[in-house]
Amino acid sequence: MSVLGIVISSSYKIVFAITCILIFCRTSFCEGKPIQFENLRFGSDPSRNSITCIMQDKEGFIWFGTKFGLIKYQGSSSRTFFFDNKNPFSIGGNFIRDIQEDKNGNLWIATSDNGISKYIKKTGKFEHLNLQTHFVDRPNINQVWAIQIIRKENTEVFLFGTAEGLVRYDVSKNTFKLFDTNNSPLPDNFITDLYFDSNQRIWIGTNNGIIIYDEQENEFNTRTILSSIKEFIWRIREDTDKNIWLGTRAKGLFKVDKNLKDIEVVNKKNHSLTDNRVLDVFIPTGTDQIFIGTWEGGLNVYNTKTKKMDALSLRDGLSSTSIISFFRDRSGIIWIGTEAGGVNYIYPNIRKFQSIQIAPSATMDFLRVDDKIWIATTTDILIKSDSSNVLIPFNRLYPDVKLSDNNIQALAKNRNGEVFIGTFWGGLNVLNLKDKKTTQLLPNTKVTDVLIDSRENIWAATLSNGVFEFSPSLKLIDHFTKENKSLTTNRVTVLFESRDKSLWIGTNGGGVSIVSSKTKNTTKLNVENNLLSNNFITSFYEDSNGIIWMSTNGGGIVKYDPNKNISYSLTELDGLAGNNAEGIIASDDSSLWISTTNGLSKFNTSSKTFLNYFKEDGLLDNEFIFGAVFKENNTIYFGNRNGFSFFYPEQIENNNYIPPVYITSINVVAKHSYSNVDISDLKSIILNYTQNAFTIKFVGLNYIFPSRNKYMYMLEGLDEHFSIENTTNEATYTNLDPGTYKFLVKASNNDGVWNPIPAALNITITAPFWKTVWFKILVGVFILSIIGFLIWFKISHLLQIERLRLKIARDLHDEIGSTLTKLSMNAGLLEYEKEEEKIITRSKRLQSISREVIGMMSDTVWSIDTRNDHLEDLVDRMRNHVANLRIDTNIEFIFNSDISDKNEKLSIQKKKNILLIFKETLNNSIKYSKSNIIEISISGSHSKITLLIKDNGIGVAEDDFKKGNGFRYMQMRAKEINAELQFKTKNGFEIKLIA
Amino acid sequence: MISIGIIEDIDEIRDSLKEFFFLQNEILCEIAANSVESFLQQTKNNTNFNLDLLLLDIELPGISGINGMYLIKERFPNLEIIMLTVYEDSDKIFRSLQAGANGYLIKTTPFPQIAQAIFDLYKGGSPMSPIIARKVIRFFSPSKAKKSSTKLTPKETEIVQYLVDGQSYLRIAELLGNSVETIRHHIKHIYTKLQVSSKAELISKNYKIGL
Repeated sequence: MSVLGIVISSSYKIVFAITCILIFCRTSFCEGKPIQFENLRFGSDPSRNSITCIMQDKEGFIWFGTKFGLIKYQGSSSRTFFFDNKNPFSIGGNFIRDIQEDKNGNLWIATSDNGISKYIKKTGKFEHLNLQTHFVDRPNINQVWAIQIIRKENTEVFLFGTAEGLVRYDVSKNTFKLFDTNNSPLPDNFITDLYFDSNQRIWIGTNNGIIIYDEQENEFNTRTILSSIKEFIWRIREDTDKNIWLGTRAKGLFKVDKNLKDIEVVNKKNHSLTDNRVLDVFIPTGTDQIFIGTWEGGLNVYNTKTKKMDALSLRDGLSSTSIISFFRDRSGIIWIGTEAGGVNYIYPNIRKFQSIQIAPSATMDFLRVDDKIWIATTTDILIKSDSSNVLIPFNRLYPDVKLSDNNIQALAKNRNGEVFIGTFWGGLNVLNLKDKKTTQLLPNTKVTDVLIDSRENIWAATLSNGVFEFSPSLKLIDHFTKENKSLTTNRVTVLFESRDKSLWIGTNGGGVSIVSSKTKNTTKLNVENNLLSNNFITSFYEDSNGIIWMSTNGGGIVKYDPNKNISYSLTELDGLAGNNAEGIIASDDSSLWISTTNGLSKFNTSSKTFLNYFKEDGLLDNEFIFGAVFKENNTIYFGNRNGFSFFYPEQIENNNYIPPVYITSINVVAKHSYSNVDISDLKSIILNYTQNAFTIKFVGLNYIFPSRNKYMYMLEGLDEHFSIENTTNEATYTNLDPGTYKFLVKASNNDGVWNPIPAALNITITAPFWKTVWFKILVGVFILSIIGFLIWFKISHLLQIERLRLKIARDLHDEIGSTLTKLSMNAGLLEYEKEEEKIITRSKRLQSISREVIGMMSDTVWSIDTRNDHLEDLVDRMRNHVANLRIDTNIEFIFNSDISDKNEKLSIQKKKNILLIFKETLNNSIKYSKSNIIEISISGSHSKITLLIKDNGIGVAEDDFKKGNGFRYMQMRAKEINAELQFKTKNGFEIKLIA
Repeated sequence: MISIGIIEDIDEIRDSLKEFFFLQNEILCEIAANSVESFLQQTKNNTNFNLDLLLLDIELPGISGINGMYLIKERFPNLEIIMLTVYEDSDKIFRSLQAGANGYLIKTTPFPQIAQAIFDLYKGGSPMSPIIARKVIRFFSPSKAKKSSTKLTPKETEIVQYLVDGQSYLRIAELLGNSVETIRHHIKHIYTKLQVSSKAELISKNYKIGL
């Protein structure tokens, strides 16, 4: 997703073309050491590789303005910003001319195609400043070539050099003022460069001359020698003496003295400037040199004292002949922008090692002979004189010497001037340097090493025949082999004499045998007796404490204390460059240098840390060959497969620049990737629980071999300590629990110099709502309330049941009690009846009351029975009752029912009460109204039942009716079920019940 | 001739009672109302009525029997009241005794016994069933003692205790060496004390509540 037209390049896109061509420096800048130019390119587009301006922001990032976009460089990667018409926040123009940083850390970018863009650091977005809106009648005012920001007490004043004149923007007043040829003494409207010198003078370079605006006096200063300059001014720069240097388009370089009285010209004619078109000038402090960038004449270096000019071009390692910008960053790197060649950069001592290439050789040995060094290889002895790096074959210097074999494995020399040459196929040659005569010892033996001990005895190690010891007169004294138990194997590779005069024998697979000088007994050190980490010994070294250091092929290095008989090994895990250690030696500062097949290690014996060096540091190759190590005075030599590397240990300077470290992005692995462009300003970030997996990228801003920057990081809240150091500049975390964390990262530069202060980012992962405390509380409350509700419901249900029981009981009690009382009283009175008629009446009454009781019981039981819950059932019971009445009386009963909602249930109370009212009404009708037709209609649904009963009788007296028990009874029943009871007593008795 | 009144809401029961009393020579039923309201209405000018005793139904619609008792007692302070009830609900009965009833009758009691009970009551207090007797004892138990006037005398307590045991008046009279009349008189006195002390308590309770 190109949100801002950003192209995120990672290191594979940036091509490091490291040119490793050695040159001899011809200027005093290098002080005897060669300049090496490193090159950095951005893709293949030549416009993007034309670097017009370079600056470093407050944080330490390097910004390159190119002809096609703006690049933010951070060492391991870079980002390019260019105009994207779909994105309103992209940079306004592509042809960058100048970049300046204001006090808030935002960048102001001058483009000559589309005005000024302001880069807001916090958001990573660009704002466009269209000058034409302020100066409508100036069509070219958005061609901006230069910006200068002048700091005032609380505010800033911006100067924009445009093609229509100089715009002065005062932030505090928000005013834009244009100075052009009409209203000012500007020599031309086309402003090419601006410079604010240490004397508070604004130098304004134009197409046709230069003028000063004095900021203190607030006026243009026209009374200077500058008016004589009528050139296109490319660049204005100030030197440490406050003189101003001007690069012109056709007349070379001008130097204006600080008093503005004098102009000195440096050009092709008088100073051998290669090209009079000077695009930029760089004056390094503390030297007498001026770097001059020319249009096609490459880089000129002018010495102001000697007035000498040096020209550097492609063959010196520059990537282009067109040098158009310079910049020196805070770590001391000098960046050199070119046209179409990307950017070159130089750093003193970026290369620590030198090397000489020769024909490939599997082994190598070194010997100092007079003023020369002899280098033994598998094809020849090469001789190097101290004054030059040229190697001369052996037979050039010693044409009359015939060696038994040219595969030279070892060299040694005794005090008499005899050189002992161990060969692979031809045994040991003894060469007398004076008479050039040779003697052969051990013919047909593969001699791997030769050593002259402190008694001048000669020791020869062989590949299949153990070790021979000769007297100075070349008589064989001793022979150490496997067979005579002095060695574990006959394949011997290296010999060494320690200060106590013991002879150390290193073998290929058999560990070490130590021959004691006094007793001639051999002590063995090997893997089997736990005194070595590996049995393939390549080299020995004894330090000032008598500790013997051994390099092994596969087991790193071993440190052995002969007095305590304890050994200790150091391997890759401890930081050694490789476990195949080929040679070991110490420099005078008691650091140990170990060559491996994977680089060169420097071991600091006090801090016990390793610093590793590689090809890019100047080594011929990362792979070294065994046993090829040599030191004399202050130079150390290590042999590679196709040459050898050498260096002066004291002169190896580390890059001591402490790199600032920033967290650059956080990429969340979620549905929507959240990638913050410029996170360097962000202190904390909040993610939700679905975003609990992310990758954090960070960078340490060291630009010398930035791929060797190392990092240590930890996530507080998850990790307990920092990770081990690693060059990977990202960290990924997954499946984090909700909570607060703090990500810390420390960085070191390529030479292991650490920034102790880590960069930090607070990360909060919010809990999903179901994990938050308040939610849990809410759930708890919810569950409790549900339980409470259920309990309440149950209780109220139980209560309801209880109430119903009580009601039923009470109903039974009341109705049946009274009815039974009636029964009892009638029965009692029966006793007193004398007349038969009355007796019969009384008895009938008794029967009737009894039946009534049964009916009541039956009704009550019926109403409780849940099978009779529906309206239908009620209607059925009514019909039943009517049927019985038909039998008992002569009245015609008409029964109509029109009911619906057959599945709804009626409550016990409602059922019963309607039934009772129904019965009571019929009772009244039958008893009192003397009717012969009673009409009953019931209609509705369970929510509204309408019962209508009317007869065609005489009705009843209203007052009587109202007073009577029956009515009160019916009213009570109706009230209990919230039913409406209407009645008519004239012209027949009528009851209407709406329930 | 004992002059009685009846308040009973169920017509048939009231009529039956009226009919029975009509057959009795010594009992004159002067008034039979179907509610307390109706009774009060009919006895507005009480010169017409000279009631000795009132049969009052406990379960009445409108003003209940117990509440009605207060109103009736206001008008006829010396009127003796017998509660009529279908069931022997001892709580209700006790409460009506506390309210001032002099006795109670189960409605389904055979008529002759009803007549007898009226005679007895007219002479003295109504018989106390063991359950009621127990309630009386509990009511007058020492833990509840407040005013001295509400305590039962030792003799009264003894009589009530015998009643709790289910002894008849005759038997109690024998045991205590008194006549049945004396026993009856004591029981009447107990009833009065019950009423008085209940009233006092009610007043004091109401006083506390602030009525």
